[in-house]
Amino acid sequence: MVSKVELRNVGQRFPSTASRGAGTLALDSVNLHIDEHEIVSLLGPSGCGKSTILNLIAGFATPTSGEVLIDGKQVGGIKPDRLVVFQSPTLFPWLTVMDNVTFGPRMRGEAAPTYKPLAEKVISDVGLERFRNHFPYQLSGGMKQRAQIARALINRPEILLLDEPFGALDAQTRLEMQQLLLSIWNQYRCTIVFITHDVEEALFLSHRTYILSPHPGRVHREVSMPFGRPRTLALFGDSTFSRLKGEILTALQRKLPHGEHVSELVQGDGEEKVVAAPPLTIIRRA
Amino acid sequence: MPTNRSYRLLSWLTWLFLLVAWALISNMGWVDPVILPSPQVMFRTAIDFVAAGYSNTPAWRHIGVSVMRTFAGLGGGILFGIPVGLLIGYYRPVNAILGPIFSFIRPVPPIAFIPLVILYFGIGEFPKILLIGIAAFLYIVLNTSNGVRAIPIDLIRAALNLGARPHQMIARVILPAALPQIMTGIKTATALSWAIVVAAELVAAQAGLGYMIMDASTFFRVPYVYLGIVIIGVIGIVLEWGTNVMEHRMLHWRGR
Repeated sequence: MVSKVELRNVGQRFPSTASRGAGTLALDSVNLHIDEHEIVSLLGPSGCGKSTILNLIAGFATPTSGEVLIDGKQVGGIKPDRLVVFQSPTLFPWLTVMDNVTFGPRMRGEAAPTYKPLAEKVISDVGLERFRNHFPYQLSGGMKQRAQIARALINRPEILLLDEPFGALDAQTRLEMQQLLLSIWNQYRCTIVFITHDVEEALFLSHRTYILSPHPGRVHREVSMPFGRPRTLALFGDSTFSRLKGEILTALQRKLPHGEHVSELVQGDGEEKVVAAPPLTIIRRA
Repeated sequence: MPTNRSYRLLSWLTWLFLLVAWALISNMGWVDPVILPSPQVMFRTAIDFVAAGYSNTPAWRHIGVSVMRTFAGLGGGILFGIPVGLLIGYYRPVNAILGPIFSFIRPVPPIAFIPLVILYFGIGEFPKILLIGIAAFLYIVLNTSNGVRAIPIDLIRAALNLGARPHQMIARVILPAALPQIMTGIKTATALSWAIVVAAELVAAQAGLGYMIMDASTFFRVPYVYLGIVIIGVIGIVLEWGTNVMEHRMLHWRGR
């Protein structure tokens, strides 16, 4: 079966600002695949190229080497079948929630009777019924991300690309948003690529996680999450969950060239301890 | 505890103080009344101006002509400036082509062009409006293109991602996203246009507030010089207030 998304030996080099010089190698022979209806997290510290990978899948950039394939075909530019939900608020500040959500269909010239009912549905799916006529500046951070998700969903995307969408939210809201995303996935079953530096978030949401290492960005390991669905908050107390979390944290730390990035990864609760890993459940693809 | 009202009172007191000082200085003969006419003389001059105009031209025409020239020039500057600014800001080749021209012309004070436009187009209405138009155009192009370049890349990507085509990007995304800075440009251009219309009328005109000041000073009708300055100032304040109201109406989402 052809993967929904596949990266084959992808390298990405950014030109250096100096006139001479080789530039920065952001990605080095990255291989990964995401199957249809799968939720896959890309986990790693800053500088590991996870956003670069997302930009390549979205079509915002083209790789300097290797191939990015969607349904086995080369990525052909920017298309609404692959939609990005950004961390920064990218709602159009001059439009109401409703007009933001219907932006895609309106740009493509669809008729109002076609997209209006769909808009009502996606707005209620993300729980913003009472805010459809509000402007973005009247929404909280979490509500803005809900609106961004609705604005993507109305286009019936096959792939949803989320770039640290909940990174700027407080812990409580982040948890609510993660649960919302799971319920959205349950209903829409789009393929989801989720970028994060939060280990628990990756564990809670995804089927599989790619752990990336920085400078240059490489796939370090691939981890499968052996948890059933639907996932509930009880998962956070699960012993396998804790063990995997420890393993991933260890894996992240071992690969780091210096200690300074660790604090960035272990953010959140201070009682986090990286213990020597028990036998790994980490698998590797051939 | 000082309140907003007490501060406003303080501002009114400034005016009152100036008025009293003026009345005192002029009426006590401390200053030559030719140089500084008294409030009574100014009041009578204002009545005369409203009733009889100045040098056979009615008051409304002097004011109307200046305002009309300003709006015509400003309107032209806005009409051409916004599209050119959007293209320069959004398309780098356009910026590369037109950028050098603008960076050369921009630092030249618009008033320096007065002799040239008179040479080319004489002293009719067109050269004055053209001069204002050029000045407004330059400011609006600058602010618009800077506004476009300041749009977050993710906002542009989000719009492209949702399927906006190039013309939709310009009209539905780039223009509204740059509108706050465009409005800043329009406000600056309005103030500047009002300054330039007066300057242009000082040099060559048969009517207008600038003409009135110039003519009155030539014939030593000093009260009319003061009156002209006051009217110019008041209209300047009204224009600023008008653009501010427009800005708040159009850009309720600005800075939030």
